Amino acid sequence: MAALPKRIIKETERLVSDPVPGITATPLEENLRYFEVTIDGPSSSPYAGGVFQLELYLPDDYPMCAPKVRFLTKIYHPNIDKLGRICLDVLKDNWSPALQIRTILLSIQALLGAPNPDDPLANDVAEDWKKDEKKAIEVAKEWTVRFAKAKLEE
Amino acid sequence: MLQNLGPSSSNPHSHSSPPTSTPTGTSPAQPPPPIGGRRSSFGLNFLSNFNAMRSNHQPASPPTDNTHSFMSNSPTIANLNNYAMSTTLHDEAVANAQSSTTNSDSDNLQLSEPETDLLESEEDRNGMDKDGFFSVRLTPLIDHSSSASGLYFSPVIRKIKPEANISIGRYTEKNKAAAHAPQGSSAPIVFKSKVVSRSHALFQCNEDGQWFLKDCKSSSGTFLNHIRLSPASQESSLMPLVDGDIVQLGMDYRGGAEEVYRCVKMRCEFNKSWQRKVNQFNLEIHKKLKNLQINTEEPSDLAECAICLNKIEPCQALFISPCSHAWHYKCIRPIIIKSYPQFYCPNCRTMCDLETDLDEDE
Repeated sequence: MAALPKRIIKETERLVSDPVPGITATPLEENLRYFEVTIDGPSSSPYAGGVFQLELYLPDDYPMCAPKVRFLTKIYHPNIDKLGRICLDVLKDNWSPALQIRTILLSIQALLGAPNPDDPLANDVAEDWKKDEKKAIEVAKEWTVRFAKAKLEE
Repeated sequence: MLQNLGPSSSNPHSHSSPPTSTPTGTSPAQPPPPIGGRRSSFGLNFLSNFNAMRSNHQPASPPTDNTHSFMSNSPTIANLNNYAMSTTLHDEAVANAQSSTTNSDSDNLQLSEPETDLLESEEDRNGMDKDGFFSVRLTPLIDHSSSASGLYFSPVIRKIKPEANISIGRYTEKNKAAAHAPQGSSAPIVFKSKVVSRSHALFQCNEDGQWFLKDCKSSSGTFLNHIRLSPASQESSLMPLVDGDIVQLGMDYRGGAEEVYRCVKMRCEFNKSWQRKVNQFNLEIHKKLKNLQINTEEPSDLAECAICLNKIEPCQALFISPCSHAWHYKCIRPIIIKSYPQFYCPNCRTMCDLETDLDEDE
């Protein structure tokens, strides 16, 4: 494998020395471009109390292209689909090399706090969300307890 | 923000099915936003040199400056900015610690600080300028890495009063004058392409500075972020626009081999005339860069290169954008050549024209 760019080493070091509250990102020893990520659900959201696991991969042309990020924990959210794929502008067209792993993860945490059913990825969820937001929030809470908290109690 | 969610499955910003390549994961919030949607900051403020700069001479006060007013209309990003605050504060502490060694420099800067408020108040929150105009700037979307490049045109700036329209159409003998209208006028926008209809589309702006786009029965279509607004020869409804949206007029004809058969692809910026004037930040950076060359003994407090995250140091080849962000030339080069002469700043998302005349001002 080609040498790891200094930028990735720097980012990794800073994630350790100056961690983001509510977010962890740990690279695998055997592949330093692959990170195991956890994000705490924002406290004012239906995901509060949950700890969500994600995977993050830095492609070869990072930082000229966006990291690939996916939820591993099941989550009920209009912008996140069954496979954990995330619909977020900064992960696609609006990626900028001035963004970093930490800012992308903050964006994702912010997305949990501000679901946007008008720009859906999971159409069924988005429709439920638009039809009956209260109920959708209940389901999201339920899923959080079932999938994002169970892990903690193990 | 989430409550006044905009209409429509026909909203070109929403996906109807899991997209293969998301046209715009962008603009989660397409509801006509109350404030003139500025997507320009994107929570990037806290990354850019801007805050780091300010922190050096505003040690005690938290960044209450424009970080808020520039906030985008996207809920996710807006939130991010809030999150960013805490990060910034922390970074500031670090920056302050470092900057204590370079006092002489920061003293100079402190004198000029109050002017910043003047600069900001020139335009109100909606992005209306002091004469009561809203502005749009169109720059060709160039991508040298793709073979299908649209028509090249010089950037166009237009200003209109609230509730007014600007028509967009093909260049003809009759509207010749519009093609040579001065930047910042309210003249129609015309393109020398045969795939653009004579009356193709129009821009409209409401009282809040929110811009809209409508297809006026064009034959080859108007596309907003890759999605066609209406079938051929049918008028579309008014679609809300946000800063950074990509609009395409027509489609390439005969493979776009000849210039006149190319479609027009452009990026739109709204109500950002403030950004084009020299501001305090630009002056401060200019000063710092001068020091970088002269005074090699003191550590520079110019921020690090946002791409490689290393410090910007003397004797390195740098590129400084018109918006006053700086990177190592080596780091930024791929971005410069990708869309030359347009340059889309990765730090602040300003569109810059690298072919601008150098003797233009003063």
